[in-house]
Amino acid sequence: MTEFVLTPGMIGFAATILKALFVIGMALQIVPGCIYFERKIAAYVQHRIGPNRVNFTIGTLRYLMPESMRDVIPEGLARVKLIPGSLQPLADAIKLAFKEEVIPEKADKLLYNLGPMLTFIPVGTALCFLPFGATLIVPDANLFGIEIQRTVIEMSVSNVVPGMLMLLAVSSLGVYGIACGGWGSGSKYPLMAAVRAAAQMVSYEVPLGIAFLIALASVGSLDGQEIVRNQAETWHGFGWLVFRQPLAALIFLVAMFAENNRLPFDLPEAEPELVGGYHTEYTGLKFAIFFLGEYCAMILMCGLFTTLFLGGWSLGPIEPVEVFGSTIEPLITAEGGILNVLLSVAVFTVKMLSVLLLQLWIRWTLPRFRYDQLMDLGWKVLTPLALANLAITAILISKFPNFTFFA
Amino acid sequence: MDPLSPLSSLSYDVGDFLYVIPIAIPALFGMIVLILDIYLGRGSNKTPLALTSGLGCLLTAVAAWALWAPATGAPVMAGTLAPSAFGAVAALAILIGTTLIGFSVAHHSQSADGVGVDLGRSIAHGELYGLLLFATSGMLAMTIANDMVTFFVAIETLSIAVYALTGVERRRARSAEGAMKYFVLGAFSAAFLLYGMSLLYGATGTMRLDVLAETAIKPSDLPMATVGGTLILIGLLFKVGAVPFHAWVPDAYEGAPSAVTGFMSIGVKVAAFAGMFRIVEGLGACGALGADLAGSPVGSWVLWFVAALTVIGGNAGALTQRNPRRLMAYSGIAHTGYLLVALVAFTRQFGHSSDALNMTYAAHDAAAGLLFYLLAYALANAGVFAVINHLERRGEDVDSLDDLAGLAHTQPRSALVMAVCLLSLAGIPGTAGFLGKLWVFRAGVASGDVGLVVLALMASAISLYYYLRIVVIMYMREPQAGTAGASSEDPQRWCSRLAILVAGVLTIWLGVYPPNAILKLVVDGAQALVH
Amino acid sequence: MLASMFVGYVGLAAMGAICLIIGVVALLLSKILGPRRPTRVKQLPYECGVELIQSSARERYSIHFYLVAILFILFDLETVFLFPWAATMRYGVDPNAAMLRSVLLTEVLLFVGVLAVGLFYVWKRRGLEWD
Repeated sequence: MTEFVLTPGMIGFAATILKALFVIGMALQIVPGCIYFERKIAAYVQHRIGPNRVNFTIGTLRYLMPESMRDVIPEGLARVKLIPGSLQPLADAIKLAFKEEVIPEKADKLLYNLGPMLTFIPVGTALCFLPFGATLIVPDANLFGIEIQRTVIEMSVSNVVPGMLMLLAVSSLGVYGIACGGWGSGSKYPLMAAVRAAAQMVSYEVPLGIAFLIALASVGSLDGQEIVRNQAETWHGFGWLVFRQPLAALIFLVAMFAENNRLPFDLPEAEPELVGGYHTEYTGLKFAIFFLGEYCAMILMCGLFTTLFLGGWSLGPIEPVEVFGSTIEPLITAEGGILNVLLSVAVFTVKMLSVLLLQLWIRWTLPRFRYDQLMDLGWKVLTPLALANLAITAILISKFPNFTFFA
Repeated sequence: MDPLSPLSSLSYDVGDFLYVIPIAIPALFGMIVLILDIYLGRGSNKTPLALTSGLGCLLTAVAAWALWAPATGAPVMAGTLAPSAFGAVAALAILIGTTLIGFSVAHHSQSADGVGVDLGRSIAHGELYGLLLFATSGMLAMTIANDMVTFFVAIETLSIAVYALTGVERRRARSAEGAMKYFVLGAFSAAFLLYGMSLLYGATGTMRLDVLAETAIKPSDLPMATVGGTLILIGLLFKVGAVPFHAWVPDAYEGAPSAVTGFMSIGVKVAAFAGMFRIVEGLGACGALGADLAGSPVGSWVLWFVAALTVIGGNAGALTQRNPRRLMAYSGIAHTGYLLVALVAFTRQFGHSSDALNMTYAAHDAAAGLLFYLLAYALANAGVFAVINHLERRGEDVDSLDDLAGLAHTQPRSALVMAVCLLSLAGIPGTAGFLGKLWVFRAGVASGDVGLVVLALMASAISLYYYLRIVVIMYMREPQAGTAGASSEDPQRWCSRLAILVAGVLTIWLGVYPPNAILKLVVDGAQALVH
Repeated sequence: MLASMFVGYVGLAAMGAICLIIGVVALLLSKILGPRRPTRVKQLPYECGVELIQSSARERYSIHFYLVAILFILFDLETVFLFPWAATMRYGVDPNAAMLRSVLLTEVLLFVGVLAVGLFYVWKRRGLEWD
C-alpha cells in the first residue's frame, strides 16, 4: 500500500489558505466589535448608555437547549441581557443590506463603484504581511496512515523578505479608493473631502514612512518576524522599539491617526463641514464597505504598531536568559508547537486591541484640528523631528554597533 | 566581514570620493544660493548670489583642474566615473558659461533707476542661480560618466534644471511656450536615449563604457547593439540640436530669458558633446557603429550626412533672422555642425582602413580640436549673451537686431566685446574661434573628409554675413531712441561689465597666444580619450 | 530558487482574492436585496436639499493640493530610497566593516541633509502655508 505523504509544500500551501481565512475572519470579527466599543466608549465619555437594545439575553440560550429543559431558566433571569447592545453592528449591517442603492446622476459609474472596493481591498490584503504569531513547527509524524513531513510555518499569511516594505506599499493604495469615491460621486462635498483626505494621507505618509524606516534601521531587516525576534532578544526580552526609539514610536502613533482619518485628524469626515465626508453619496452595502475598509485600516495600523514598536507576538524573552545567576525559561519561544503559537497569537491580539482601544479613546478625548494646523503638524513638526531622529539613529548604528538605545 | 552581507560585493576606495568633489561643489553651492536668496528677500539686489555662485564655480574649476586633469581616465567609484583631462577641459568650458552668464544677470531684477519692480518680467533670481548650479553639477557628471546609468542620471539632472530655467519667467507666455516645447521634445529624446541604452545593455551585457569598448559583440547581437547605439546618438543629437532634430532650438532659445538661452547654448552643448564623444568611443570600439563601408563604419557616414545637413541648415536659417536670440539659436546649430565634423573625424578610427595609424592621429586631433573649440565657443557665446543681458533692462528687451543700433556710440566697450565675440564665432584669425575651427578642420582633412571640410568652410564664409551684419548695425547706424542701444553704460552694473570684460579678454588671449597650460590640458584630454 | 522566491506571495494572492470576493459579493447583495424606487430628486447630488448651484462638482480647487502631492512624491521617493540602507545597515558588526559603515553613514547623512535643506527651502518659501 502506498502511503500518502504530506510534503512541506502541500502543508505550507494549505496553511497559507487557512491563515488567510483566519486573518480575514479575525479582522471581520474585530470590526463589529470595534464599532460597538466605539459607540459604547462615546456614550460613557458623554455620560450616556449607548447601544443597549439589540443583544442576546440569557433567554436566548433556551433555543440552544432541548425542548424539555427550557424551563430550567426562570423568566426573570431570561430577560437579563448578555453584553447589552452587542448585536447592534450586526443589525446595522443587515439594515444596510436592505437599503435602496442610490447612485447620483452626476456620478461616474465605474469610479463610483470602484471607490469602496479600492478602499477595502488594499488594506485587507495588506493584513497578510503582519506577523501575528510565533513560528509553528509541524513535526514528522504519521497520522492515520498519512505521513507528515516536518514543516516550518511562519505565522504571517505572506512571508516574504521585504514584507514590511510590501505592507506599506500595498496599504498606501487605499488612498486611491477615497479619491475615486470622492471624484466618482460627482458631488461637491465628497470631492472636497476626497481631496482633503488625499492631501492629508500623503502628507502624513512622509513622517510615517520615516518613523517606520527608523524602526527598520534599528533592527536591520525588512522581515516582520525578524523585527519581532530582534525586539525579544534585546534587553532581556523587553527591547521593544517603543522603549528603544520612543520618538519614532510617538511620530508613528500620531501619523497613524492621521493616516486612518481618525480624530483628532478626521478632517475628511468633519460632519459639520462636509456632511458625511467622501462617502456622503454612498448608500447600502457600498457605504458599509467603505466603513469596513476604514476599520480594517485601523486594525492594520494597530497591528503594524504592535509589530514594530510593541514587540509583536513576543512576551518577555524568547530564549533562556540569565538574570542574577538564575536561568529564566521563556514563556513564548520563537519556534514551537501549537500551544506556543496559540499563546503568541493571543499576546499579539491583546497588544493590538490595546492600541485599538487607545485609538477609540483618543477619538472622544481630543478636539478636531484645523486644516492648517494639521498640515503644519505633519510637515513642520513631525517630518523634521523624524529626519533628525533618522540622522541620530544612523550615526549611533554605524559608530556604536552594540548600542541599542535610539539605535 | 560577513560574506552574505550585501555590502561585500560593493568595493570602493574611499579615495575615489575625491573625484566626486567637482560634481558635488556646484550642487552644494546651489543649495547655499537657494537658502541665501530666502534671506535676501524678494526684489533685492542679487549681486551676493552671483558672487556666491561665481565662488562655487571657481572652486569647482580649481577642483576639476587639480583632481581630474592628472587622472588617466581609469574607472573609479565602482566603475561609474572615469575622470580625465577630457572631463576637466569640458568642465572648464561649462563653468565659463555658468559663471559669466550668472554674473551678467546679477542686476537683472532692478530697473535702471533701482525702483519699480515689474512682476511681468521678473526673474526669480535665487531659483535662477540655484538651477544654473544644479544643471552645472549634472553637466560635470556627464563629462566623466563611465556608466550609462550615471550618464542618464546626469543628463536628466541637467535637463530638468534647464526645462525649469527655460520657463523661469513664468508670467511671460513665450517663456512658458518655449519651456513646454523643450520639455516635451526633451522627454521624447530621453526616451530614445534610455531605450537605446537598454538595447545596448541587452546586446552587450554591460552598462560601463570602458567594458563596452572591450566587448566583442556576437554577430547575432550586432543588429540590436547597432539599433541601441543609433537611438542613443539620436537622443544626444537632439540635445546638441543637430539638424533633423533641431526644431525645438529656435523656439526654446527665443522663449527663454536671454540669460538662460546663453547658458543653454553653452552648457548643454558642451556637456552633450563631451558625453557624445565618450559614448561614441565605446560604441565604435565594440563595433556597434555598424559594418565597414569604404574603410569606416556605416555610423560615421550617417554622421557625415548629419554634419553636412547641420552646417547647411544652421547657417541658412541664421541668414534671415531678425531676433538676436533666434539668430544665436541658428548660429548654435551651425556650430553643432562644425563640431560634428570633429565627431566624424573621430569615428573614422573605428573602421578597418589601410592607414589605421593616420586615422588614430586624426581622431586624436579631432578630440583635441573639439575641446579647444568648446572652450572658444563657450567664451564667445558667453560674451555675446553677457552683452545682451547687460543691455536688457526692465521693459527693454533686445528682441530685434535694430535694438542694437548705435551701440558703439553709447556703450563702446560692450560693443567692442560683442564684435570680438561675433568675429570669434565666425572664425576670424586672431580670435579663439579661429584656432578652434582650424584644429577641427585639420582633423577633418587628416581623416580624409575633405569634402565635408570644404562644405563647412563655405558655410563659415556665409556665416560671416550674419555675424558682421550685427557689427555693422552696432557701429554704422545711429542709435534709435527708446532702444537698449540708446541707453548709456550704467556703472552700477559692475558684475555684468566684469563678465563682458573677461569674455572679451579671454577670447583674444586664447586666439592670439593660447597659454601652454591650456594647450597641454587639451592634448592630455584627447590623449585620455584616444590611446 | 526563483520559484521559492515567490512562494511567499501566494498568501498575498489568496488574501487579495478573498478581499475581492467580499467586496464583489457585498456590491451584488446590495443590488439584489435593496429596493429600487428612483426619483428625480433622489438622484440629485446631495447639497443639503438646495437646488444645484453649479451643474458640475468638478471645479478647480486649490493649487495647494497639487503642491502637497508633488512634495509627497519627492519626500516619499527619498524615503523609499532609504529602505535598502535601513535593511543593510546592521550587517557586518565585524570591525573590518567599520570603514564601509562610515562611508554608508556619510552617504545617508548627505542624503538626509539634502532632504532637510529641501524641506527648509519649501518651508521658508511658504510652500507649506495654508492661507
